[in-house]
Amino acid sequence: MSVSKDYILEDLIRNSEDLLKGLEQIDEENGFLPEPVEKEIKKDIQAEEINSIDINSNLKSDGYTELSISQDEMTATGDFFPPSEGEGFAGFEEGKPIELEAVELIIRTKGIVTGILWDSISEAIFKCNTERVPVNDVIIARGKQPKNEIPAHLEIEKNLLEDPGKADTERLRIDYREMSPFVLVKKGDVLARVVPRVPGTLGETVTGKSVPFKTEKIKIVKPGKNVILDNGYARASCNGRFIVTEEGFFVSEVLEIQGDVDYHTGNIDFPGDVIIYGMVKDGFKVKSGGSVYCQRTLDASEVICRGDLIVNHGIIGKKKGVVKVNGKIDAKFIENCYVEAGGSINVSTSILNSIIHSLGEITMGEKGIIVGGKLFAQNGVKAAQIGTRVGPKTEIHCGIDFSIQQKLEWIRDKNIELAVKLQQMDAKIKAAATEELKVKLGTVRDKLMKGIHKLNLASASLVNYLDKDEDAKVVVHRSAYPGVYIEICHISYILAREMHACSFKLDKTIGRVVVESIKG
Amino acid sequence: MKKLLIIDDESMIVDVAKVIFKDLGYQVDGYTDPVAGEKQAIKEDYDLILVDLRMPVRNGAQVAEGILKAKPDAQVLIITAYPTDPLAKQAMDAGVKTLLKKPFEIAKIIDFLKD
Repeated sequence: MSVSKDYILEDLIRNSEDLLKGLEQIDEENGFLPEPVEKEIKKDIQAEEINSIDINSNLKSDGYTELSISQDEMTATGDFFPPSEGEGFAGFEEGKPIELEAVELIIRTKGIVTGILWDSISEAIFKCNTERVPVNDVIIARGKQPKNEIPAHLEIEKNLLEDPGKADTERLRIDYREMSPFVLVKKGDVLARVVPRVPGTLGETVTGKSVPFKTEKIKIVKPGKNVILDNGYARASCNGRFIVTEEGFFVSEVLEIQGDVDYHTGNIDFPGDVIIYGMVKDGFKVKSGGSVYCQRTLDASEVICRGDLIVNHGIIGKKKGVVKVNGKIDAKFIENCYVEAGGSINVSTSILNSIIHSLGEITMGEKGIIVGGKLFAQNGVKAAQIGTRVGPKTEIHCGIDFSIQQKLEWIRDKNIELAVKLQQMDAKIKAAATEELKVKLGTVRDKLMKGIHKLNLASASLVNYLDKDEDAKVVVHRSAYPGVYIEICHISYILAREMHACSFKLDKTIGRVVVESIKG
Repeated sequence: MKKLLIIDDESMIVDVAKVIFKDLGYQVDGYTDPVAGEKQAIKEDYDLILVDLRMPVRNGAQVAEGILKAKPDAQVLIITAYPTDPLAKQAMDAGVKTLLKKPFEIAKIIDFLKD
């Protein structure tokens, strides 16, 4: 037997359940009613009361208005009640509609003088009178808000506050070594602009009272070191790193890196001095317009600086490292690295298998050794030991300006290339079938010859600047080993036997390198 | 005109040196055969003689020794890729003043001829 669904019953159950909702929270002993129930009760009572008024109201009433002013007196609100029909003195009558004049009177009585919204009032009256509905909460007057005073202040340029390490998402490949978290500025760059003071204006309440303005609280950023104020702009007075702190902003001529130069910092390119409290990791570059101080090691990296380079530990080139310094270099050791220094180089323990160029002197520590590689030191070399009994060969070149030497070598290579081409051209000219071809090739040959001549002239001129220090010496405090090659101002000397405590110098009278004992 | 002799078994080096140093205003003779070059160096007077170190039949040290034995005042320079080559030491002991890096160092040669 099929049982049909009893919708009425289901409805009843649902309604009952709705009614019972929340009742389980009632504390019947203490009479405590939960908040939703309390609210429900209030709502029900209000509705009941209102209904009772409506039911009992059979008298006619005129339309009327009630106005109220907010506590801060910045707004006045109106409630508009419509007229109603009902029993009057002359029987069943129509109540009078609200009149604008009546409302105006109330407004005056309330002392409302400022910001009266006559349009809103008229609209409310019209709606109330025609539609016979109460119109509540109509803002009929609005006071004038005061405008805060903004003191003069500096506003930092937006681009300087952006994350400089933000990746360029349009680039498919990002070399994170090229990304730096440092904001670098140049001398004269605008760092901030002066925003002039904006004076405050008084406000007014709807009752006509003045409302004082406030001074806006702005985070004042003060210009600090290396910042100059110039015609409404704060500019960098030097190249450096732009730094913003709680107190203000400034330009630091020194870049301090608390850890290593690695993927966290990216390559460094700083116009001033750079202090690295860690190491420079393999593959990273440091370029400085000043000096570089590295507390740990330079590890197969590229360091270029205009000032000095001080490496607390050493330089581990791994045959990839390049160091070019305009000033002097101080390091504990140098291994498998290419180094150029405009000044002297001081290494306390060892120089191993490296190509070192110095326009000053290379000085090793008390027990410092030089093994393998080539050293070019304009003003000489001092070491405890040069070469080893069985190790790689060591070359020491002194007295010459390596930068001139490099130029001369480039000219030489270019010259040889041209000379080879000239030889080939001569062969072609000889075999040329026609006079016309001969002439054509002859023109090229002339050009090659002119090129060679030009380079030769440059060589002849540069050679005058090559020899810089004929008094440059190679001083060995302990031992120099066979196979070590020493050249002072182009004059060669090859060690055939182990030598101790000696110096090698150029004897200009005989044009040879001579050895002197430095014992005692 | 100053005279320059180059003895190197690589003809390309000899030819190139001739081109460059002739342009610099020197008279240049070149030999690829070390024996013939040595004979020429003894036969004629040169302001500077360049001798390659590693050559077949007669190495540069031997050639330099031969020349300096016959003409102790001759200015002989050795051309080598490796200054630490033991033969270089032998040549130096024979009286060679200095070594030139291969293929040759124009600046050094100019410097020596100037002196």
